[in-house]
Amino acid sequence: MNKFLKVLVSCWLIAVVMLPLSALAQDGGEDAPQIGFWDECANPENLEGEISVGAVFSQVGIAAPYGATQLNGAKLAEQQINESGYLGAATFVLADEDGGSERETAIAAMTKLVDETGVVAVIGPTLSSQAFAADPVAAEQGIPVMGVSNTANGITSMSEADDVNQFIFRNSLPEADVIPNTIAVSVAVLGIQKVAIIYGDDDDFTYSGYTVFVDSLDENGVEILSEDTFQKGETDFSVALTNIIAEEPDAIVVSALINDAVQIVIQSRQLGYNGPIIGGNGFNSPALMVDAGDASEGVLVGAAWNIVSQAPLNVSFVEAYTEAYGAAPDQFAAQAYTGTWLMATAIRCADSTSSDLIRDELASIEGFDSPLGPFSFDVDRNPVHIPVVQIVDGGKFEVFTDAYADYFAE
Amino acid sequence: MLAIQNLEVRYGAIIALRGISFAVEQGQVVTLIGANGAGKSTTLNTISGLVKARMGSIQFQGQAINTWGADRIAQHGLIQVPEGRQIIATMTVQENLEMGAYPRAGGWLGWRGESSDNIQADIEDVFQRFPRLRERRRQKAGSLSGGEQQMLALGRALVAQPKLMMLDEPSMGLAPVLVNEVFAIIKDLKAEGKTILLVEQNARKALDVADYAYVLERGQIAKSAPAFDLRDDAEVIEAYLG
Amino acid sequence: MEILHFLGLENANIPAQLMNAIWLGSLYSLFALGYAIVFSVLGILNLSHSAIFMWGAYFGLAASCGTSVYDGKCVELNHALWTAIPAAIIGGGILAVVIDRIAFYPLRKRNAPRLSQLISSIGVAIILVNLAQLRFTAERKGFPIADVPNTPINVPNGLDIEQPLDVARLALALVFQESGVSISPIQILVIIVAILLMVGLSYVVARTRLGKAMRTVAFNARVGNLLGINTELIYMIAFFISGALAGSAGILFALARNPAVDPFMGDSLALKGLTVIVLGGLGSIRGAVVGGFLIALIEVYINTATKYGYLDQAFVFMLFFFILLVRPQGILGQPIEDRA
Ligand SMILES: Nc1ncnc2c1ncn2[C@@H]1O[C@H](COP(=O)(O)OP(=O)(O)O)[C@@H](O)[C@H]1O
Ligand SMILES: [Mg+2]
Repeated sequence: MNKFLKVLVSCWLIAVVMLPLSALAQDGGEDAPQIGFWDECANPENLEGEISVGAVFSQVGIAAPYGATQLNGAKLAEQQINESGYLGAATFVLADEDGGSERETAIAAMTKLVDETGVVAVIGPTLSSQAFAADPVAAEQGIPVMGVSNTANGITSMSEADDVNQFIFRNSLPEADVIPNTIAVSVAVLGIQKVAIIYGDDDDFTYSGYTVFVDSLDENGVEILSEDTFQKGETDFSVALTNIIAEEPDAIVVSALINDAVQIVIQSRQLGYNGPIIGGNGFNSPALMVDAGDASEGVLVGAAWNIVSQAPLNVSFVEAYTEAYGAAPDQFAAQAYTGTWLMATAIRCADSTSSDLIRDELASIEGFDSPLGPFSFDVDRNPVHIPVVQIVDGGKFEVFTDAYADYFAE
Repeated sequence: MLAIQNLEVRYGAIIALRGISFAVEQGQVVTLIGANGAGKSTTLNTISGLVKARMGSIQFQGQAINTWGADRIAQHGLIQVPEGRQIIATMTVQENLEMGAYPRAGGWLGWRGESSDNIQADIEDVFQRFPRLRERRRQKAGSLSGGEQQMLALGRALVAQPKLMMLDEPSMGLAPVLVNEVFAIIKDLKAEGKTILLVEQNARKALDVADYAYVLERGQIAKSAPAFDLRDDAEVIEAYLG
Repeated sequence: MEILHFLGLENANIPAQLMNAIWLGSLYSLFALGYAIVFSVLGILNLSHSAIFMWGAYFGLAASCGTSVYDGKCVELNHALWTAIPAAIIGGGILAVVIDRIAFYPLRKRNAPRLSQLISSIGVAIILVNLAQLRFTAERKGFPIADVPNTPINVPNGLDIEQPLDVARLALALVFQESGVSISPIQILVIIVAILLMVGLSYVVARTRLGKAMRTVAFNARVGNLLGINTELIYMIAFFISGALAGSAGILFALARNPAVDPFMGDSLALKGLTVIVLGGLGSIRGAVVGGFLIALIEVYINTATKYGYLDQAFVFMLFFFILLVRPQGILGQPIEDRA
C-alpha cells in the first residue's frame, strides 16, 4: 500500500511536470500559453459595440519600412483580441491612420483620430521626433498615447505640464536601458573581469553609450584597463587596437556607429583578437554581419527583442505572424503587437471606455507576459522588461545564454 | 631667313613695339641695339612665341610662325638665349646641356629622336669650346660663376643645333675681361657661319661683330644700316657709344 | 626599460606598432607624393587631391563590381578584383587632368594669383564629394568580403614542405607570429606598391627625359618653353601622375580597409597629406616619402602614449606651424635640389 502510493504519487508528479512540457514540445496544442490578463482582470461586463484605438504608423517616407511591420504586428493583435473575446461583448477596432515620416503628417493623423474618429487611446507614432510633435495633441485632451518604437530620451516627460505627461506611455526600451543588461549578462556568463573601451567621443549617441557602459562596468565590478577614443572619419583603428590587445582584456567594449563598428570589429580580428567584443546599440544592424563577415562572430549586442528568443509567448507570436504575413517579424512588429495587447488589457481591466480609467489601468500594468518577456510600466510610464543579449553566431544574431559560457574558451 | 613685318606688341595699355620691321639673312650677324626699355627683349620674346603680337608678321624660313607656340618655334631651330642667362640652377651642367637637345632627342618620349650618342658628341663639342664647363659637368649649374653660366647658356643653345640664335644681352653683368671673351665667342660663331640676332646695350662691341644693325628707340626702329656705317654715325655715337 | 617608461611605451607591442607605422606611412607617402608632384611642377596646392583619392576608390569599385554599386552594396564581383587597381589608377589620372583643364588651366592662362587657384581647387573638392554622394549615396560600400585577401598572414594549414612557396609563407608567418605582428596580404601589397611607385617616381624624375623636362618646367616654365618643351603637356602629365597616385592610394586603402568607400573617405587624409609635404619640404619627392613615414610614426607614438586617437592630429598641427615658422623649406634641407 505504501509502495503503491509512492508509485502513484511519482506518476502523478511526472505527469504534472512532463505534460505541459510535452505539450510545449508539440508546438502549442490546447495548453499553449495565452497572452493577456485573463485571470488578473475579470471578464468585462460593461463593454459593448466597437471600441476604437488609433494607430499612427508611417506608411510613406523614410520611416515607412518600420511603419509597415508595426501595422502588421498591431493588426495581428487586433485579430487575436477579437477572436478570443478578450473585450467581452465589445469589438476592438484598430483605427489606423498614415502618420507619414514628418512631424506635420503625424500631427494631422493624430488630430483626425482624436477629433473625428473619437478614439479612446492611440498607439504610435513611429518616429521619436513625430512623438514629440504629435503626442501632446492626444495627451492634452486626456487620451492616452503609447509609443511602440520611440527610444529618444524624455518621450514620457516631453510636456511642461505633468498632467499631460501622465497620458504619454511607451513600451520601447530606450538605449540606456539595454546596455546595463548587456554588461550584466556578459559578465555573468563569461566571467569578464577586465575590459578595454574604445569609443567615438565626438558624437552624442556614442558618447552617451560610453558613459552608460562605464557605469554598468563599475556596477559589475569590472576593471577598465584603458579607454581609447576616435573621431568621425577615422578608418584606421589598428594603432589603438594594437595597444588594447597588448593589455590582454577579457573583452573589448565599443561604443560606435555602424561604419566605425564594422572597422573596429574587422581590425580587431585582423590583429589576432578572438575574444568577445561588446557593442552598443550602434552595432544593432544587419550591416554588421554583411560588412564584417566572419569577423563579426562573437560580437555581443543588447536589444529589446530577438526573434529566436524561446519564451513561449514569443514562439507563438513569431509563428502566428509568419503564418499571417509570410515573413518573419522584426523588433518593430513585436513591440507594436505587444503595445496593442497592452492597450486592450487596459480597456479590459478598466471595463470602461473612459480614457481616464484606461490610462490608470495602463499605468498599473505589471508583469504582463508578452513576446518581450514579462512587461511592466515604471512610474514614469517607461517600459520595464528584460532586454535580450545577442551574440553573432553563424552569421546571425542568436540569444546569448549560459550555453555560450565556453564559446570563447580556446 | 627671318623677316619681321610691322610688329606691334602691347602689355595691357603699354605699347612696347610700335610696328617694327627688320630681317636677318642666313649667315649674318644682325644686332638690335637700344637703351633699357626700348623693346629689345620684347622683340626676341615675340619672335620666340612667348609674347603674342597684336599686329604684324613673323616669317621664319618662309613660314609664318606668329601663331606657333614657343616650344614649336624652338623645335624649328629658332633658339633664344634669354636675358640673365636662365640656366637651370637645380640641374647639373651636363643635364642643362642635355635639356638643350630636348627637341632633337624627340621630346619627353624620345619618339623618333636622335641617338644620345649624337647628342653627347655635340655636348663634347661644347666642352671643347668651353673647357671650364667640362671640369664642372657634374656640378649644379647654380654654383657656376656668371661667366661660366653665360658659357653654359650659349652651350645649351648650341646643342640645340640652332638655325638662328638670338642672344639677349649676353654681356650683361659680366666683368670687362669676360665681356671680351663673350664677344670673342660670338666672333668665332660668326666665323663658323652661324646666323645670329644679337641684342645689346653695349653698342660699340655689338657693332664690332655685327654685319647689320638696327637701332631701337621706344618701340620703333630709329635707324638701320650696315654695322660698319653706324660705328661712325654721330647720332649713334652720341646716344650709345658715349 | 627606463626609457620606454619615460616615453610611455612600457606596455606597447613595439614590433606590431612599427608595422602599423610602416603600413600607414606607405599610405600617407603614396597620397602625399601626388600633392608634391603638382606642387613642384606648377607651384600650386591641389586641394582636390583627397577627392581624387575618394573617386579612385569608386572607380575601382565600379570596375570590378559593375553598376550594382550605384544603388547598393557590391554583393558579387563582375570582373576580377585586380581590375579595380588599374581602373582606379587610370580613372584617378584622367580625373586629375580634367580637374586641371577645368579648374586650373583657365586661371593659369590669365596669370591669376596662386590664391585663386587654391580656392578653385577647394571648390572642386566640394563638388566632387557632392557628386559622389549624389551618385553613390553616403552609404559606406566595399568589395564582397570573401573576395579580398584581408585575413592576416598566419601559419597556414595544409602546407607542403616540398613547395618552396609554402616554405616562404611559413617562414613569413612564423616571423610575424613570433613578434605579435599582424598584417594582411593586402597591406603587404600596399607597402610594396607604395615603395615601387616611390622608387619608380624618383627614378623618372631624376633620370628620364620626362623627369628632366618636369624639373625644368618646375624651375621656370618660360625657360622650358624656350628649350622646346610643351609645358602644357608636362602639366597634363604631372596632373595625370598625381591623380594616378591618388587613385592608387584610394583603391589600395579601400581594399585594405574593406569596406571603406564613402564620399568622405578622403577627408582625414587631406590635411594629413598637406602636413606630410610641409614637413618633408614642399614639392620634394624624397620629402613626401620621408614626411609620410614620419607623420605615421608620430601618429602611432602619440596614440600609443596617450590613448587619444586624435591627439596626434593636434600634435601634427603644432608641428605644422612650428615647421612653417622655423624651417619653411621642410626637414629635407635643400628642397630645390630634388624638386621635381
Ligand atoms: N611683362 C611685361 N609687362 C608689362 N610691361 C612690360 C613687360 N615686359 C616689358 N615691359 C615694358 O615694355 C617695354 C619694353 O621692355 P623690354 O622689351 O624689356 O625692353 P629692353 O629689353 O629693351 O630693355 C618697357 O617699357 C617695359 O617696361
Ligand atoms: Mg631686355
